[in-house]
Amino acid sequence: MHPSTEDLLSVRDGEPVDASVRAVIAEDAAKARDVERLRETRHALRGLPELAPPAGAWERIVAVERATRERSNTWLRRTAGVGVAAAVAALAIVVIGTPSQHRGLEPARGSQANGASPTPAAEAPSSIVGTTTLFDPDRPFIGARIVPASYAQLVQESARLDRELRRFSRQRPMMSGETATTIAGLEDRIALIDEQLTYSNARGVPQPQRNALWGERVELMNALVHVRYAQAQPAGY
Amino acid sequence: MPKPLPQLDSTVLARAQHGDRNAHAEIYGLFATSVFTLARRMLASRALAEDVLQDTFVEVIRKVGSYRGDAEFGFWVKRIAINKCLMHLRSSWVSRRTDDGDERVGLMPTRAAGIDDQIALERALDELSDTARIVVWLHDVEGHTHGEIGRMMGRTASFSKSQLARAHERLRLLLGGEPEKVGTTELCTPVLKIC
Repeated sequence: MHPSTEDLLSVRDGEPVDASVRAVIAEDAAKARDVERLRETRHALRGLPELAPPAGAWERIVAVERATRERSNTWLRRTAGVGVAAAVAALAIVVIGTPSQHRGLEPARGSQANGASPTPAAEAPSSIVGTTTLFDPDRPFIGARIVPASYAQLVQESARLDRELRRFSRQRPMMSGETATTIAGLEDRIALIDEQLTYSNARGVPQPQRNALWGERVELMNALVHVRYAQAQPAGY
Repeated sequence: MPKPLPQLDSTVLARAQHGDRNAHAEIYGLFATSVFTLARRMLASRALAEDVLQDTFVEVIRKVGSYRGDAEFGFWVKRIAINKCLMHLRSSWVSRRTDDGDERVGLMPTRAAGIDDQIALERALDELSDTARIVVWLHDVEGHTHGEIGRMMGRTASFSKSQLARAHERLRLLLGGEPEKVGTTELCTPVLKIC
């Protein structure tokens, strides 16, 4: 019997383990030392120094929170809705004006980077958000990407938008209360979806519903990236 | 035992729930360091940790009025921070395919002479896959059970256990010890000073 690392960790943590495992560890000094080593690693991890938050972080938090608080919840929801609708509608208009061959399902950039094969069109009905165009850093004002509908592509598109968002979020420019409110509203809705996605496995959420959640996440992320992009521009959008 | 969380005075909480900005600042002063540390260690990125710090406290201020005391206040704050971290990492789990425990390639020179033990451990922690790093931090440092971690990550307790084992095997390798072997007796892990 050769106790695995999982067994040794169970012994370290005082969890129930098979009697034979305990017997081996009791008789084998090397294994007992391994358990001690795992204990020491935990001790060393807990002993890592705490890290001070960056200077000025509280002032930024107050500024963002104050801008948000100035608007009532009702106003917040309406503005967030307008923000999403404006971003989506403006780009949808562009797409309607583009040649139809450009409106086909494009593989997400992330899927290409990861080497995943694009889902065949037959598996990707565009019933979720077929006419929404997605943010493209090379063509920020012209929607050239179509929201995909297969699970894998939705997840990958979501990841791509996360990366785009990180680029703009890092810049932290000053923003108006209206913009901050719109952003907060979108982030709230994304957080709600993320919570549902986090627990979707444990709750046994059916696949179509997961697809719908990811589709909604992609739409909201897309709107958020557009707002952040506009906010990051030196002049007007 | 994990480090105890700072205690929030009930009068400060009451003031915060009524929108008192000074009370919000006191809450930030009490918990900012632990939130930032948690985020930095879970995400292995200072920039992302700063994002999580900001997002967490904006949410704390906005939702403190709905806090009902079901859990310790510090625990409630940390749960918000953990959720923010998981949100940041979800895309990484998918795009880097680390769900199954694939580690980042390349070992960094943790055994180079003169490198402080804690820095070496910190760098080794950063080298783990996102999933393994989160699990080892939440379990070994924050004191969450495998069941809690499994639920937070939408997985099972067994998943958390196996990730913890992978994390420790990897840490041992990165810190200069030999990987798990039958009958291994000569270990040298500078950080743990077991040589």
